[in-house]
Order: sequence, then structure tokens, then C-alpha cells
Amino acid sequence: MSTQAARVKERHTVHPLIKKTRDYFWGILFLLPALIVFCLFLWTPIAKGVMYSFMHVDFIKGNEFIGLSNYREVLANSALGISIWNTIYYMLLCVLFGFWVPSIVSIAISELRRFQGAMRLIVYLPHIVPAVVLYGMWQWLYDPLGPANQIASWFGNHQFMWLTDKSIAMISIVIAETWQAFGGATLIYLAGIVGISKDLYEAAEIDGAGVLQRIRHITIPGIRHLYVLMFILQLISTSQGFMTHMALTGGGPNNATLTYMYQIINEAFTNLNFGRASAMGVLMFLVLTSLSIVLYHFQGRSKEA
Amino acid sequence: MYDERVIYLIQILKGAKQVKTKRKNLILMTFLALTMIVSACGSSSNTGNNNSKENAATSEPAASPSTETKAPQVTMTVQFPKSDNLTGIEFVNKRLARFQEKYPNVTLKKNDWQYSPNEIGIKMAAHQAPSFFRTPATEGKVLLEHQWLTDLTPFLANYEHANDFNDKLADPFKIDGKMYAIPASGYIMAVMINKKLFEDKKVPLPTPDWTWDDFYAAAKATADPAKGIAGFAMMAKGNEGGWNWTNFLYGAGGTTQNVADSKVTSAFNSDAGVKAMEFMKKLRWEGNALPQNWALNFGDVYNLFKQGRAAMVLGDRIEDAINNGGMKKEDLIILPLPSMVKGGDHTGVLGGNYDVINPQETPETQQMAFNYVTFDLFKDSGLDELKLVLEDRKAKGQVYLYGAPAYYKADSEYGKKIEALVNQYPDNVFRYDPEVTNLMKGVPEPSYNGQECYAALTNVLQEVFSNKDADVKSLLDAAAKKFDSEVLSKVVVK
Repeated sequence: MSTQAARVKERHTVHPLIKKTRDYFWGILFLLPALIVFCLFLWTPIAKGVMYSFMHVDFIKGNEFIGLSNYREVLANSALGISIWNTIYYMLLCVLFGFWVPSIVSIAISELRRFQGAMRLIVYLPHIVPAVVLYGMWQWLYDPLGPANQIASWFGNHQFMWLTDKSIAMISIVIAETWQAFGGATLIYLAGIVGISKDLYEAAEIDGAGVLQRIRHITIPGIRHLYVLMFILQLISTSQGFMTHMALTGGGPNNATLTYMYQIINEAFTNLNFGRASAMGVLMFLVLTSLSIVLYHFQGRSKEA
Repeated sequence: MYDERVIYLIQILKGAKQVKTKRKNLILMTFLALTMIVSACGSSSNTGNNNSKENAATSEPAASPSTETKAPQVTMTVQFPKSDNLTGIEFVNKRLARFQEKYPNVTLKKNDWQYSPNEIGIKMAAHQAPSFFRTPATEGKVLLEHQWLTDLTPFLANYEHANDFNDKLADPFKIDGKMYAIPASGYIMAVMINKKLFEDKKVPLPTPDWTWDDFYAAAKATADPAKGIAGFAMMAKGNEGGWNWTNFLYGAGGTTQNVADSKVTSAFNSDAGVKAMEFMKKLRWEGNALPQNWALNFGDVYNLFKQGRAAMVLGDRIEDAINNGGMKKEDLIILPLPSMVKGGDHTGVLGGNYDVINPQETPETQQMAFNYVTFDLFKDSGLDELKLVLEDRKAKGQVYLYGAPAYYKADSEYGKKIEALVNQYPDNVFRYDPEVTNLMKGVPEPSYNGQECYAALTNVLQEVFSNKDADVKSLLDAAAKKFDSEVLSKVVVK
């Protein structure tokens, strides 16, 4: 009896912080591995990236603080304007060519009476093609004597220089990327469509609504919130695009497909100027953070609506 | 403060004890162990940032270069071939065994990382570069600018063959009287020709004393765009474009950079530069001799050549073309770069592969790496190793390219021994024609910010290839002005 009283007393006298720690002990313990991984592989590199942007990075002699010098050099670089314009142009093309594809495909699949599962698999397949195979394949498709020009020749005697003509190189990249990436987005839209109540469709059918009316008045409004989300996510991911550019055109011809991210990669790994690359990264981080704030703002509004 | 923390920890532990199950105690122990591991990782990474290897180097006395007999245990990482290169692995393993026998105090760790311009920075930052590594000459200045090279002078002072190296190859890495790399193999850029495509089109084969006009005529005549065959396949996708074009710039008597009054300025927009770029324009638009998709990188160009889709390419990758590409020895010839005018110089970029030693290693390890790099040079063991290579090629029906500049002087006693050995394998040796070798003149690559210089030139080249009406002079001027203001103006000439 007396020990129990002592325990109760102890419980009352312990420091509130200790009590909280005790209460959340197991929770914190389970969180710890994730926290450690994030700390080591995400937050530390971010913090170091910001630090490096103010430094002349030298792994042998040691880093030297140089203030805003890296930022000044980045802003004075004549290729900066080209790469920013190219990035915006690329983002715009991705919206024009790519944004509507997954939504249309997902609506089409959802309207299928049979083979829905098989179609889902088929549209997702390009997404799992290994990058090396993918870029090899597109190099071949875009070969001046390859299939893309064969198809073009059916509609007249055109021969396009898909990857070496400055005016169409970026479009070629966007087509390749859309083909590769639309499957993932299609699945997200499909998940959204599945979430729409079946009652609405049944009611519409009873009221005599056709396929197009169903899509227009039920499906599209049902996944409206996804459009905003996918749009902003696409802007964020395409603003960082560089891989296809690197593989198919190397940023050429004459910087016509050089994106901002690709310029960062060149600065860091070709010119080995990690300070300047970090400064470019920080600038991009600021822009993307602003974009994310816009995303949350829109998301909040769409939920309210 | 300290006491409070201890009490706090004890109370947490008490709280945990109250759980009273063995399994949960076990989880607690795991948590503590994990915390300790993480803190240990943190501290080790901190010392890593402070350059632990260098600290070790400074705290220990510098080893005398003659530490061969009685020396402390040394650990050294050795550049090892990739796992698919079975023959290479066999050779290196044999060499390691011989090395270990001579230096029992060394622990050898294999590392199959091969030099890559895009990875060296990361490797040095992570202190994971091997004790020595083989690098192309192009990278020399980059490595030197970042001080990723060790001055080999102290090691060479006690090396018996220090003065026997082929000066042509060793000189580019001698700076202010210090030597930073051991030459392994060299090249002067040449033109590799697929004779079969010439015969198919009944085009006469060019001779070693050929000119730009001959080159143009040959490229134009062998090209067959409808079949996807190019007369001349050139690299133009990445920075290799600038590297390829520099050969023609040198051929026209130009240079990439001028150094005067401690200042470096671009010189590729000279008259020679304009002539070289106009020649590219002529090949592309007038002759239609380049591949229709000219955005090709290093590998793409040689793949086209191996597929029989390019009659001429720059380089001497004969071994790759025959041993990997299945081409026939008799279908290939190597010629020097054409001269701009009849009787002019046949100039090409001088390059090669060099062994450099990691400055992050301790002096003892650096000495051991130097011993390893020079282990077979100028020695009979080197001849034995070459014999093994030749035997292997003979057994597989493959070829060995001989005649490019080597680390030794061709007319030295050792050079003659090599020649005698090579002569025993006439069917398996692809030999440079002596007339070709005599005509070839090598000029080293741009001295300052080579990669950025090549990038600037590649942009001009791409504009010329994609725009029929490109104004070559103004493009080169604009590129030079930009490169000077953004890059070369910041270079300090020592």
C-alpha cells in the first residue's frame, strides 16, 4: 500500500518534460530511424548546399567563405537567361502536350466495360522501362531514317531533324517524356475516379445522361481537385527536368535544350564548381518553395470549395 | 546542468524499466546502440571533413622514398578492372601477386572505379578516390587547378628511370619543374578510315600527305545519307565537339588560348579558327557529309563506325573496332589529320593516359602507389606482361595497336626490345604506318579551363551544324568574348 502511494507521489512530482517523454517514448523511438535517415540524407545536404553557396568549395585546401560572389557570378552568366527561358518553355510544352493526356486516358479507361485491368497495366508499362533502354529507344525512333520520320513521310515528303533542329528538339524531348510518364499520372486520376460515388452515375443514367454528359457533369467535377494538384506537381517536377535533355541532345543544339537544372549539373560535375552550382540550387529552391506555397494555397481553397 | 541530464536519462530508463518485458528492454538497448552508432558516424564524418588522411600525413614524418625494404604496414587502394573485364582482372591479379611478393608490408585493396570527369569531384570530396588513378590528359589541368595531383618530384628523385620517359608525353604534366603524372600511353589525334566504304563507292583511298580538300572530297564521295552512311562522323553533342574541332583549328595553324602579361585570352576566333569552322560548315551543308543526326557523343561516333555507317572518324580506336566491333584488320587504315594546304603540317591534339597519385593519401601510401605505377615500366616484367597480352590477343584472334607514342622513347633500348617482341606477332598487331607517324605533329590541349573552352566551342559548332546561314566569324567572336569575360578573366597565371 505504502509503495503504491509512493509511486503515485512520484508520478506527481516528476518533471512535466520527463512525463511527456515517458508518454511519447515509444512513439519517438519508432520515429527515430526515419528522423536519422532524413537528417543524414536530406536535411544535412540541404543545409550544406546553402552553406556551400557562400563558399569557394575546395576539397583539398579547404573551403573559403566568399560571401555573395557565387550568386553574383551566377546572375552574370549569359547562359542563365537562356536556361531559364528554356526551362519555362519546356514546362509550358509539358503542360500543352502532356498535362491533359493522363486525365483523358484515365477517363477512357474508367469508361471501359472490359479489360480495365489490362489497360491499366499497359498504360503503366512505359513508366517501368529502364532509363537506358528508354533513351536508346527514343534515339532510334528519332533517327533521321527511323520510324518517326517514316510516319512523317506518310503525310508528305517531310524529314524532321528531331534532335538537331533547334526549333523542334525541345518538342521531341517533351513527346518522349510524356510517353514515359503519363502512366503514373493516369493511375492517380483513376484512383480519383474510383472514389466518385457510383450512385451519381446510376442516377445520371436513370435521368438519361449519355457518356459525354456523364464525363462532363460527374467525372471531371469529381476529380477537379486532382487537376490542381497534378498541375502544380507537374510544374515542380518539370522545372527540375534535365535527364532526357542530357541523354538525347546534351543540352544542344547550341543550348536550345539546356535547362536550368542541366546547367546546375554542368556547373557542378563538368566544371567542378560546387559553390556556384549550390548557389544556383539555392535560387531554384527559393523559387520552388514559392511554387509550393501557391500549391498549398490552391489546395486549401479547393477543399473549401 | 550535467547532473540534471543524468537524472533525466536515469528517469527515462526507469520509465522504460517499468515496462517490465524483456522484449521492450531489448528495443531500448537497440535504441541506445543506434544512438551510439549515429553519434559515432557523425564524429567520423566530421573528421572526414577535416581531412583525416591529411591530418595523418602531417602528424607523421614524411617517409623517405626508399621505404622498400623495412617499412611500416601500408594500405593502398589499387585501381582494378570492372568485373566484366575478365582478361584485365587476370592480368592485374598476377601483377598484384608479384607486387605483394616484393612489398610484403602493403595491404592491397581493390577498387574498380574508373576515372570519370563527372565523378572525380565527388570522389575527392568523399575521400574515396583510389591511391592512384589513370586519367586522360584532358583532365590534367582540372586536376592541377584543384590540387588533386601529388607532386611526384620527391619520388622521382630516387627513381632510376626518371629521365627515360618520352618527353613528348611527360612534358605536358611538368609544371614549374615539377612532374605530376606518369605517362602510360599517348596519342596524336589521327583519322581512322573504313576502307570498305571507300571501295563500295569506288572512291580512291587518300594518302598520308592528304589535304583538307582531299578530306572534303573523300567525305562527300563516301557519304550516302539515304542509307544513313556518313562520310565523316564527328562528335558534336557534348564537350567532345570542341575537342574534335580543335584538331582542325590546330591544322589551320591556330590555337585556343593566348597567354601574355599574366593574362589568358581566347584565340580560337582567329583567322585560323574561322577557316576551321568554315570547313565544318562546308562539310555539313555543301558536302552533306556528316551524319544526318550529328548530335553524337564519343561512344555514338565509334558505334556508327563499327556499324559501317561512317567512312571516317577521328581517333585510333582500332582495337575497339576490331576486337569488339568485329571489323577486319585489312579494312582499316589510320592516316594523320589532313594538312590545310599541300605540304603543310598534319597537326592533331596530343593526348594520352596518365597515372596520377592521390594527394589525400599519406606519404607512405603515395610512395607505395608510385612503386606500383612504375612497377613494370622499363623492366623485363613489363615485357613479360606485354607478351601475355599479345598471347591472349593471338589466342582470341584479336589485335594490338602498336606505334602510337608510348611512355618510353621509341628509339631507346627498351623501345627496341618492345618492337622486337611485337614483331613476333605480325597477325595480331595493327601497326601505325611509319610514314604516318613521321607526318603526325601533336599539340597539347587548351591549358586553362579546358572543359569550359570545349563547351563554348561545341555551342558554336552546333549553331553552324543547325543553321545553314550561320555567320562563323561573329559566332566565334561572341563565344570568345563570353568565355573571356566569364571564365578566362578570372584565371591567375602563375
